[in-house]
Amino acid sequence: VNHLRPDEIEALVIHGDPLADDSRRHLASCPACAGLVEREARLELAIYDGAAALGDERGAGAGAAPAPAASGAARGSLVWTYALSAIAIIMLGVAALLLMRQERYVRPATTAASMDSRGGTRVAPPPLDARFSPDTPCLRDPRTYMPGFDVVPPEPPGLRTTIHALKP
Amino acid sequence: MVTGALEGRADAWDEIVRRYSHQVRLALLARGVALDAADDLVQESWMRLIQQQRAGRLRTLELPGLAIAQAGWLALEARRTAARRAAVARFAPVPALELEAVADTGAEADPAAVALRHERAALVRRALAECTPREREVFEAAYGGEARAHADVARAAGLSVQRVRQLLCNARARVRRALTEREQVDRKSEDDA
Repeated sequence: VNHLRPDEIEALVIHGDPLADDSRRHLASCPACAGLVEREARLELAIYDGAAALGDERGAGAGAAPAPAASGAARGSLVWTYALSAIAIIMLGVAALLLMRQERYVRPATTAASMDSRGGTRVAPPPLDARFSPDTPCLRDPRTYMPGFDVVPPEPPGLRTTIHALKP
Repeated sequence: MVTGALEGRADAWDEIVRRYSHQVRLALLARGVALDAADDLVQESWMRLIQQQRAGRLRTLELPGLAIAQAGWLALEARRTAARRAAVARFAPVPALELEAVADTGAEADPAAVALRHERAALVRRALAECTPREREVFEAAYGGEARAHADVARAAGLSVQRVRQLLCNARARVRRALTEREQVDRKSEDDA
């Protein structure tokens, strides 16, 4: 009796190769060979099961972690995200600097420039006869409160002297 | 592929049949079904699944589990029919067959099956740790969830089919040794008990 050779059983069970007709007929009628095939098939199925279980465990352990191929893509996209974020931050900084230089905030004058004792601004005092803009309600020009603002300067002597012509 | 099959695409079904038929046949052989009958049952299982899909009764397609369960059910039905015919011929009562042949359908809920699966995964992991990276890569491609054919694995890895089979043989020998040793330990403890 020619039983199935181990390589024939291996080819059938592992690789799924078809059996020769003689071997097929023998397998159908030989309980020993059928038992061997059954045992090998059970073992092969256990290998499939173990490999699938291992894959499932890896998948569950990794959670939402991407596959190796996907993780490479994710790393690339992460680099791009960092680069774009850095560029955006730099552009925002430059824009803010430009805006600050163009529209620098100027503190409104609360005291007359001529009364500023700190000497920060060197502004000539306004002439006494300077015309100020009419006062805005609740925002009167503080210079009008300065001492001596309303004092009329002394006229030079002889300004209003009438000189009559001497009659010959 | 599964989505395409659920949409009824013929090419997707062809690919599924090509990829998973071997595992379905192995499941039948492992239950003691004769080779010729196993081949017929594999074909019948796929036809039933395609009919179910065309009838709109197939919402999900978990492979190869569903096909194996279908084949197991068909094998059980075949055994029932054979037993019924034999009983009728002998004028004897029809024997009741257990539903153990379709145990795959509820395997996920069975704690013993879950434990066995975890144990197998640990053994496979340990055995693969001793393999070379190439052997591991080929093994995972051939035995992993996608269960790719050796020719496909060879094409993807840029190797010849013969080389893939050689690498697979090395890796499989280690995994097989680990699983067999465990099986022998279990059998010995059962005998002692």
